[in-house]
Amino acid sequence: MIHITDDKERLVLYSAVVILIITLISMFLVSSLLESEYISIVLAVGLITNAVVIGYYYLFYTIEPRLSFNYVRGTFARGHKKKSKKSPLKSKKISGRCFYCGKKAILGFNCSYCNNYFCEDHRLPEKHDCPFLRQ
Amino acid sequence: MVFSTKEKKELFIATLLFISVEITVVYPLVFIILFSMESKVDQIALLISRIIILGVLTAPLFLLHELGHRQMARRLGLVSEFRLDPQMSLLSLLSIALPIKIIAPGAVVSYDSYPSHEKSGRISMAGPLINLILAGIFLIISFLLFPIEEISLIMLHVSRFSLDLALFNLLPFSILDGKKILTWNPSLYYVLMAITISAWLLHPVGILNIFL
Repeated sequence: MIHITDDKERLVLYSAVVILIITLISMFLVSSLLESEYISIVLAVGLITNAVVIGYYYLFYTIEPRLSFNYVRGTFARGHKKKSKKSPLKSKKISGRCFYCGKKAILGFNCSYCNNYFCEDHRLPEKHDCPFLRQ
Repeated sequence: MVFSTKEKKELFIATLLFISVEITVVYPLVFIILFSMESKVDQIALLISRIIILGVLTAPLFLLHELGHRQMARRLGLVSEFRLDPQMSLLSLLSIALPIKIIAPGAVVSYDSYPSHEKSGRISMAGPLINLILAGIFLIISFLLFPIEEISLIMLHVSRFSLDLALFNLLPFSILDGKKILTWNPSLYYVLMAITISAWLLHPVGILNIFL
């Protein structure tokens, strides 16, 4: 259930919990000792500190940025467009069985390549071994 | 930050949809007043100015959330852009008139030859974190502008709306961000949910704020 990979991650998560507890306690203290409009600034400081600590560790510290596609403008948008004869607003199935795992899916997804119906876990072509991926 | 032309158009449409649905959430009264027979001109002008301010202020909540997802995906080296989903955009458009509002006109999509739970988890985490930071920023602005009561109240509601968005996106259902973070790293997910839920309950506009 709880899986923490190393000591630094444990430190980050524990300090996030500690910041949360300190924020809640200070909010109660401030509201009873001072006027109650100051609780909004205590909450704001606690929220921002927590979000920055967690965000910095998981989104910046633990990954090395690879070359992003900033130097290649618009290749994604000007990619190969297949003109399909069907209109884009296809009728969406409300429920049915996933084509890959057989689970009953309410408001599942149609693959735009093979046009089968999938649950949310298998909607991507890689996840359901889509035959069109081999091309 | 690089935007392609198609992406600019789609982001613009998505933001417009978001603003229009959000306005109908906050001010349903304006429709009653605008279409009633005995409406006064200055009341309408005041309401319209409030609508414009609120719409302009809530646009960055949605925009920065999606841009956060996109920049994180690019930082991981993936080609990614924001794309509209036609059915969900239609649903968002219809939500203007319906009592139940669904605002999810599109999503950030990326080419990934080697998808993993870790990458999806990190990309999904970026959005709600940005919403939490924005909620904090709007709370600070609301506190600093406390003498000007009306603008302070508007900022308070905008920060509350940002927390609502963060909480909704962190729910562990189907394609939402919460499910992806949960499959990657459950301990982080519990910590994030604890932070968001406690902020949501104890926010000045929140439910448990009477205890403070």
